[in-house]
Amino acid sequence: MTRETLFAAIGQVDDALLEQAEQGQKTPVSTHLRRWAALAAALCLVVGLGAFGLSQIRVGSSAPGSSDTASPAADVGSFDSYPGPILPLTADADTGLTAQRALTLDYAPRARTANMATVTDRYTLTNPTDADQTLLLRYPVAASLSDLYFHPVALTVDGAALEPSLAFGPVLYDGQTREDYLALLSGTDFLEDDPDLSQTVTLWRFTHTDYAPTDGVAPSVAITFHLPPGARVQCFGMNSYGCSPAGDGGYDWEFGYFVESAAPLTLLFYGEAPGDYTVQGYSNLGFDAGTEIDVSAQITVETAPLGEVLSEAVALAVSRGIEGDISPDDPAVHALWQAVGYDLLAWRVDPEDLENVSLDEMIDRNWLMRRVSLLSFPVTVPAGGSAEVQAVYDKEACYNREHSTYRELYGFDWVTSSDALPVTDFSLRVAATEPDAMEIVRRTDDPDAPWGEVVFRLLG
Amino acid sequence: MEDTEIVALYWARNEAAIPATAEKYGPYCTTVALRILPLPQDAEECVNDTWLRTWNAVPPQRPALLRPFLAKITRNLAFDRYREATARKRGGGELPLALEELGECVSDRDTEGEALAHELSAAIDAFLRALPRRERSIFLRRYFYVDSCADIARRFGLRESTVRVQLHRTRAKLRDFLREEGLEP
Repeated sequence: MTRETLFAAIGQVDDALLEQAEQGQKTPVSTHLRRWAALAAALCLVVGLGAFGLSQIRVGSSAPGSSDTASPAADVGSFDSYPGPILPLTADADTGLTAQRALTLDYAPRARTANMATVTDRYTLTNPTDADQTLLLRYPVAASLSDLYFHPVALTVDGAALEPSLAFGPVLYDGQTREDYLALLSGTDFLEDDPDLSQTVTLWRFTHTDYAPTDGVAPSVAITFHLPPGARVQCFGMNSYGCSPAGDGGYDWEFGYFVESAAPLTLLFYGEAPGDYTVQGYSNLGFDAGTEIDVSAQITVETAPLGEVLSEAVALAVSRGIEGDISPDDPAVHALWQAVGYDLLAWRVDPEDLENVSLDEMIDRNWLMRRVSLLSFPVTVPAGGSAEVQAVYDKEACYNREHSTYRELYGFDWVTSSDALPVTDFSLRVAATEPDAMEIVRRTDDPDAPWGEVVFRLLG
Repeated sequence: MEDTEIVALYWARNEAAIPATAEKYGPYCTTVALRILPLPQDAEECVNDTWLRTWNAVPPQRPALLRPFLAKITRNLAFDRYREATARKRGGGELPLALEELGECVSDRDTEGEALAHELSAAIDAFLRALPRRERSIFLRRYFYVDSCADIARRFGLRESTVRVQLHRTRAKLRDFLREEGLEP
């Protein structure tokens, strides 16, 4: 049968099994833990900032339906999908400035399909001193690099567009709470300089694989070789890979691919490439004895700087499933190149954890996993005057895909202020460009809270 | 509105059933469609077709679980559209990757005497029921809903590599199962 036949058959599976798959979450207790973790994070932040008594939160809405704080709706910490809070503008050191912040969440029709709102985060910075102040401000964003590419943050100062530098933090593997994002924000692991990827690597590119057509097979190819201790190899586009320890402290490696795979197939050797190798065809990727078939593959050997190889791999990996070319000069794409580069420099072979043997996975992980990134830019606030900083971007809402009683609800949360740039006046507006598009079912309006949230239901 | 009330509207041939379904399950079905059809306008048309197909199917059917009932209709309509699109040009998105992975389980050749579709579906159903629940759910997230491995990892609190390894093992089991059942040579 064909793969399409199999895919279609899976489409007829019993409804009850599908309902189970919708409910396939982490253990339910984690929901409660997340709520408590979020509260603990908030308390820590109050202690850390000290001056939150000055913060004021005004909550208003142009949407129909007034706030119903008595609603038993879930808070954002218990949504099935939590893309992280809207984080506040900050700086490396205490600025001596104060800020008024006006946050607007707008449900534009174009964004509603993907459960996204347009965030407009506007700060009016006031300089009470008698000297001009030039500062390096940082706007933190909880998002993947992919999010930053497809939904870039438009930053302006007094209406003039900025080209901020981008520094990125580590990926958040299992982050589900506001605390997880705040921990990243308070860390110092942000990178913005290029890694040194000048070392030369050897490439084996697999092209023009031929095989004798045989009924009932999904022809695959296995490449096996030995590498001495300390030598490393990575693959790109391969469908299987693995290694086993050899007697000399090195490893015996096996890589495999489908003959009909459309992906470019490459092995990268750090250091000397193996002198001997075998290429064997099999009827499928199981590589079982007795399933051998005849194949031939052309292998092109070349050397190139690692940085160039990575640029090519990043462009190929990111453009999968996207119409048109990816812009290699985009800050998010360059950050991806940097992030994967640092991972490559740190990577060592571990037979118990082969995740990083696949360059595809290393790239995908750095592209798709959420993290906190900092957009940095200088601002001069005149003596006794003010400057207006504004960030506009589309952001995914918290939402429930599952069995939850609140599956029709969506939510956003935000952190009100940073210690370097205290917000003395905060206002929130929740708007919908389309009339009658949403109704708010729960919102926080505690003026002493270091963070707030709004939960709503989309209509129509 | 509760699902039973929506189904009752269909049985009463009350056209309010369709907006009620769209209000409650519109975003959900759109998400299902977008996994297979990357272009939003295609997904939107597919979801509109889902409402029409549901109107024609209920009655005589009376789905006990409306959400998976709609998911199956949306997913299968989206796949039909995908096949029409790929007949003209190569498609994008996550589905080509998922199909390539499923190619591990089958010969990927049209052969004579293939099992009838309902026999194959029943066999797949039996295979999935024999799997541990989490393994089954991960398999269905990938090959029914066409979630990316990164999304599945987030959903189940796993590392992406763990998801890929799990899927690889399940595909190997399915390949062996199909052969044992005589559904594959």
